[in-house]
Amino acid sequence: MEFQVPKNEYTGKINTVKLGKGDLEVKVGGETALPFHTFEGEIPNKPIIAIEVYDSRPKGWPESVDKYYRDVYDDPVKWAKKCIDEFGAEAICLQLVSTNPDVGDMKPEEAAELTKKVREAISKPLIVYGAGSLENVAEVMKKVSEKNADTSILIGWAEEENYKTIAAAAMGYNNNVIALNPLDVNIAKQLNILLTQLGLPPDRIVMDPSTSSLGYGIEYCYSAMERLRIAALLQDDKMTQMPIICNLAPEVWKVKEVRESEERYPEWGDLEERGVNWEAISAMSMLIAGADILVMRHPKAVSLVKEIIKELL
Amino acid sequence: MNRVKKYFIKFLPSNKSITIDPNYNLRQAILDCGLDIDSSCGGAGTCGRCVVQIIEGTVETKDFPKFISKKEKENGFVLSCQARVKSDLVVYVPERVKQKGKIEKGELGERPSKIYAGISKREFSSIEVKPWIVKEWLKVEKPSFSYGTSDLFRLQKAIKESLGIEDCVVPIHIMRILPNVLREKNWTVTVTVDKWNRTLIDIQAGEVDRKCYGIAIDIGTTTLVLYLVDLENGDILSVASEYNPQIKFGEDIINRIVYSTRKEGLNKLREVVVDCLNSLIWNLLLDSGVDPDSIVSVVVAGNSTMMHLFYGVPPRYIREEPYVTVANRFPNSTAEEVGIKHIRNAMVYSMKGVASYLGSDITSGVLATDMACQKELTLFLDLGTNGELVVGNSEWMMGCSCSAGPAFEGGGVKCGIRAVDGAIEKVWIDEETYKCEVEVIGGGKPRGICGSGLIDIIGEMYLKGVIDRKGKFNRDIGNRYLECVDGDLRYIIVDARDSATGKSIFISEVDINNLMRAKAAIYAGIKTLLEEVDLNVYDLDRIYIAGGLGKHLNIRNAIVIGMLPDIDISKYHFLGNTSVTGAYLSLLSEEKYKKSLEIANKITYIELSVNMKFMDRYVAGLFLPYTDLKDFPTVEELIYSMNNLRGRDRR
Repeated sequence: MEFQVPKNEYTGKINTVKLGKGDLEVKVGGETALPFHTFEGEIPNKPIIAIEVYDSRPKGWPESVDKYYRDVYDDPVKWAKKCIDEFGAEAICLQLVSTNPDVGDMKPEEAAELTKKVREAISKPLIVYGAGSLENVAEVMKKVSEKNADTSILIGWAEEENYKTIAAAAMGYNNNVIALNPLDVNIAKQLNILLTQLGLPPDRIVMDPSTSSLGYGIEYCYSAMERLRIAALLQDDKMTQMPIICNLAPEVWKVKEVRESEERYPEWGDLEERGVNWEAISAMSMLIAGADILVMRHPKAVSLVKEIIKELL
Repeated sequence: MNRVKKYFIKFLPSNKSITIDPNYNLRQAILDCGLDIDSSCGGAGTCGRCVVQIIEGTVETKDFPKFISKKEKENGFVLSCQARVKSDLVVYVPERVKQKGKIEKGELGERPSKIYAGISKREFSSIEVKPWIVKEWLKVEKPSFSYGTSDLFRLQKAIKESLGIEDCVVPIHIMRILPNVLREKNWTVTVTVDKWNRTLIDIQAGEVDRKCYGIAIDIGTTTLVLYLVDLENGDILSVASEYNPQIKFGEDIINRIVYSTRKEGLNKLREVVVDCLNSLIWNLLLDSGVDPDSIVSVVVAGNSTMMHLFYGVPPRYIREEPYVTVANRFPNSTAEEVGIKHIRNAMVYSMKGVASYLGSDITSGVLATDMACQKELTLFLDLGTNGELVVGNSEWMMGCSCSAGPAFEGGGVKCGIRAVDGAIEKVWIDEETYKCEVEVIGGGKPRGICGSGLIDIIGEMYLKGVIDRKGKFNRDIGNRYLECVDGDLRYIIVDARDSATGKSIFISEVDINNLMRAKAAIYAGIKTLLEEVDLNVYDLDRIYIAGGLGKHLNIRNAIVIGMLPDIDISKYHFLGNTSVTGAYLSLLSEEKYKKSLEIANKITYIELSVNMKFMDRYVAGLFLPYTDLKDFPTVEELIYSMNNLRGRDRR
């Protein structure tokens, strides 16, 4: 008797979200099978990797990653271009940390202006994360969306306390929303229900189920994402069928294992190689759990993960 | 010599006073003075209910902006449990904090005829009144030189001949009076015998009235209910009820257990409840005219903590992992042994519980519903201070406790009160103006809002778009009954002008949050319990709801908020207090009492506090009606049609 690969029967489908307008439009989601299960269903769009760009000079980055970016720290536009041209970014993730009043003094209007400048300069879709309190994030995103009307950027993040403002900003100016939940399938669903009931179409929502780094509870993230995907595909639960984004880089690059020198921990080996592997393994874990968009930092980790995706899909 | 300084406190409006040491806790002083004060946290400073007003003098206290606004603080309002006395004082104990006195008879102590209206009338009429305690006249043989056996032997022989009980046990306290009683009326005696346990309970000289009466008691966390019963025909001669006086030491069982671990705490808790029972028994006797000596038995039901406290057994391990009781059934005791006065001849029997959080009140309730004798699949739901469920039929039963908390009895809700006169029990909201219309128990001005009213208000607010699915107020709908006090958003249900307290009656976002948690726990409990046995809500043939809140409960709104499963409303039945009914049935029939023991043994207990699925569903329940909208199809339909009618989506 011939061996038959056992197959899942899927009833659901992940929504397809379009990021960017015109020539630079990229589709994410759309799969009808669990991650990389190409033998069971369609995976029309590969997961994409966005590289981070900050609105100000970042502090405390380890040398192993700092060296790739320090020449462009003072110019987010150049920085974004470098990520695309040299490091193969498929999207740019602008981290507006200076809009957090505890960190910087960037006003919502300035943040919106910067976002517009970066967006106009690049040939790839743009993702924007705010910072600080939920109220602050909402205020900034209102301006960001307004300044970047009809460009299908992805703005975030929305939670229970600020979802109305964020959704209104996205609906009014035709942009997409990141819906964040704290590793909780129920809360993810609740937020999606709230957003869609305000009138935001489901295919304008990307879920961020919160991310962690390898060795720092990543298995919880894995489990939450896995359950979201199973509900979406096997149970056809419409309120879990949004593509998933993992804002991975800020989590990975703060852990001890990618920062401590080889002199201090000789048994850990070369710092840069260690960092690259740490980020790449974290990224692959998230991809296998169901991520559609990864936000990453180290150029070598990016190319390594891209290579693996290419092999697998 | 140092004279220790003392301070003098006068309380208004009662004019009671007390002298205490400096730095004494103000709330304790109020309690010491014999005044009642509301408190659900037992004096931990977390419930904000024991607010009083300092008219004269000073106390040392901290700021509690959550409970006392700046303006109130300036006017001398303090949290009494967190205040230390620093001088002579005049203190006003406001109306709101004082416990409302007696509960009306009709309120909680419903007559069984009414309790049985919905369910097993047939069963009730067929119950064979056959208590296990009987009174019998006996003629005991005289001793002689040729028949020189002991008094005890000859008494036992007479009992055997007359009642068929061999080797009847005669306790020492009866032995002590035995020789005199036997000889007093020429070897004629009236014996009271526990046939089941083959024990002599009482012996009286001569042929006295053989009428037997019993008392059924339910010791609830919130209320005590007693029936005085004629054991010959099952008639209920009198009913008495009162708030559990332990409330002042903590509103829920956890706070009471904590209090019991303090020095003399357990004794204090036992004393107050026994004292209260004694005065209620006295009322029963006065009301019915029954001779105290003819009361032969008492059956007590209550949750495990209440039973421990009543029997004076330390309950502390009920709240420590892995949550075990000292006993699920307490030994048969004389009234005297448990501190019950007036009815010295009676024996006290306890109903049997299942586990720490599934007590004998639930076993008693299951007995009352008769579900353990029927094929139909029944869900029994006791919405007391905790929220317990049992599902099953004559073949099997499973039960759990979902720790819903006292929100539906008014706990943790600022304007929440119990279902007494002055409580708002029904609420409607005008769709255009958002003005509330209310119905008040007793018909007077409202003082607060009780469980059924709270369920109504949440349901109405959700249906009319006042709150969103997360229970947050919609601020953009032009609702002019919303106001913000110290950062807390409130929806005014009754204006200050129209309330009995002179303060407005409102519901805040924090209150809604507490109620959402309670309703989430109940539904999560139901779902988890059913899934344990691979069933779903549609498999249920009926749902019985017991508890003080049940009577006024609007099932439709309880479904709208996702507390009860979205199934045919005709499957729901209200039963009132089933715990006392079960105790009552046991009092009347040995068979019923034995059945209750069988029920307690039969119920498989599921511990939800360590159940991951329960936690998952609980979080899913913090949403209106529920995160899985498919679970509430008729509610979704209703919302959809209401939105269409309105022509816009407000949520």
